[in-house]
Amino acid sequence: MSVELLLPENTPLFEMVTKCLLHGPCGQEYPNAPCMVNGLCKKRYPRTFSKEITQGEDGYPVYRRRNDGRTFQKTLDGFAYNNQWVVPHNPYLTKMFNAHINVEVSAGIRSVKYLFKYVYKGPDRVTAVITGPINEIRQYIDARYLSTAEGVDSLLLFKKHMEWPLATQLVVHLLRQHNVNFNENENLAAMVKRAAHQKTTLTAYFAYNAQNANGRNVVYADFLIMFGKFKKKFGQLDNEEKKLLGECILYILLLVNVSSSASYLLSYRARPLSNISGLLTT
Amino acid sequence: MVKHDFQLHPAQVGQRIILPTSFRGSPCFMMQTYQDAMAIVQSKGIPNVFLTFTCNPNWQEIITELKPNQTASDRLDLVARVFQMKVKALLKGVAKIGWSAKVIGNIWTREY
Repeated sequence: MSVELLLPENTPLFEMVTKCLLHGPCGQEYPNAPCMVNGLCKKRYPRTFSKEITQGEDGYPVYRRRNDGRTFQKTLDGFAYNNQWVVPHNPYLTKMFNAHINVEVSAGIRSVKYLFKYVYKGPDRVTAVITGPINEIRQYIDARYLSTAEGVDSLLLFKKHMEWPLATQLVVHLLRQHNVNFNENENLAAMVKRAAHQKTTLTAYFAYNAQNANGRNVVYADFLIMFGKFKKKFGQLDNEEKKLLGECILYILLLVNVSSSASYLLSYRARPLSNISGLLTT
Repeated sequence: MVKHDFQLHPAQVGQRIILPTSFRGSPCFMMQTYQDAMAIVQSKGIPNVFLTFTCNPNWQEIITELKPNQTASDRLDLVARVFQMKVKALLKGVAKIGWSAKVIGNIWTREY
């Protein structure tokens, strides 16, 4: 991690840093800079000098920016940059990719939530007004804005996000208050009947514990992890066992509608679970 | 009430039209992914590094493939492919440097 101009001039890395990782110029002398809002830089440049790393008030760290008197003048704008203008970066990554790579050490819980909100803020939107042949008729459209770059990424099927390790959703609901999907042409009586027997991850958790003792010391949130461990052994199982375990995981992940007795009554008639319990305890 | 009046048609129950989570980029999708990410934080701890990586249209890989008089913004297919490769390499690179030790979790998205 570096936020200083350290290397001698004319080295490739120094050139990359000065090209990609200097902010500005902005401030009072440059009110037209893109980052200026109400006379201040919204990215808080120029940063103040700091002799050592400290924890900032907003959750971000304040990095070491020594006032060593070093400046760098860009031929483009003639502005003399010093350590106050350097964007936090990692020299290894900058050299590897020759690009603007901003690296922040994220410390403190406050910044985490903000950061994730920022990351998942969704696509750009645009509000458009369509004026028809009659001027009085106006239609407002709140539309997604897709840039060409985004379009190309979609066409080439590139991943747009990734979360690792995997997170699975477990539903929480009161008795007979789970979500029910239905078709609008469906018979209502049949629908209500079907909904009463529908299983969810929660009811499956109850049902498993009613039948088996080995999951009773595991809380709901950790229940799938318990099964994940068995999944690792999957390769060593024979076909019959695989089938049983596969069925069991299906029951637990359950988004499957299998008709059997009601969920909260815990009288789970399903055949596989009793057979599998032996397998799981080994 | 609904339960006992079987004359009622399901279409009359009431509707709220939303884009489901299966539609990428919809508000529901974003909320769900955000919550998944927070669940990862809950089980793996708060992240150590926050990194943004911006595409550089002057990369050698892009420049050399341009036809005469083309600029990078004319060939976004090229830019997208090069950037995709760099992102992959970056994710590997981060794992390799290993600021502390092993990477136990990561999340990323793209912004345009």
